[in-house]
Amino acid sequence: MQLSVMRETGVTVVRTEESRLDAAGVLAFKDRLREAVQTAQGRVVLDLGSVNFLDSSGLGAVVAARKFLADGVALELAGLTPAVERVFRLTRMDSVFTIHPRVEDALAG
Amino acid sequence: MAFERARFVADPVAVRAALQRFEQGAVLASLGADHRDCLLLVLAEVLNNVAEHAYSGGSGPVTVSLRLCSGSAFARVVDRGVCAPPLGSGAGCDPLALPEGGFGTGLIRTLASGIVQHRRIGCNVLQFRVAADNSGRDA
Repeated sequence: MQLSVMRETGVTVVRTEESRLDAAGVLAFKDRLREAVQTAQGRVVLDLGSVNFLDSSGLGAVVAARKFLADGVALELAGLTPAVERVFRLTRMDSVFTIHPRVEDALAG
Repeated sequence: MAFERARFVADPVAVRAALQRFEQGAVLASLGADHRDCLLLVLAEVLNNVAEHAYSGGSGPVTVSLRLCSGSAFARVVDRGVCAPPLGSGAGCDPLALPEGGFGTGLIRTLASGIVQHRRIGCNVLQFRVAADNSGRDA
């Protein structure tokens, strides 16, 4: 499970490099994500643009990632593919996160 | 009528591999992208449940049969594990189910219909269908 991390003033962008975020890869994803965000300040934008399959365990990992963040740090999402967007919408987790169409939109906001 | 069957060990890595094989198979090849994604998601949730619960941390076989017929994809999943808990009768997903887990059953119930669970000759048998044409539910 590969993640790339880009830190700018006030925002950390974490990008997944995998096409699947499922039960087989979720533990590694959580470990990498925790390392990437636990010292972040300001906003964290998780770019899921590479992910075209997300199951409930992957969703649970994204939801749980908020617990890794320092107080006052928000987790936002960007680049949801149609299959990933559907999972967030059907579970109503789309109302829990700020979701940007693309990372560029998140940075502009 | 497209039909295929796969038998594999119910663990997360084998489930992923099986789903990837189904993606290339005859039944899913007949579906549009939205219906294909929905069927794969329901299969993933069902098979993750088997991997997680049926063999109590051990491993055992699971057999998946898929059949495309009359505008729906019909699935039958059989394992030899402990008696499966019922998928329940709740309506869709609970938005307050924020802790990890708990999302899978809601997704199954939202996307699949005709869900039947029974125990037969020491096996859990789960049957469901997912819309496979544009007259279906959310896709």
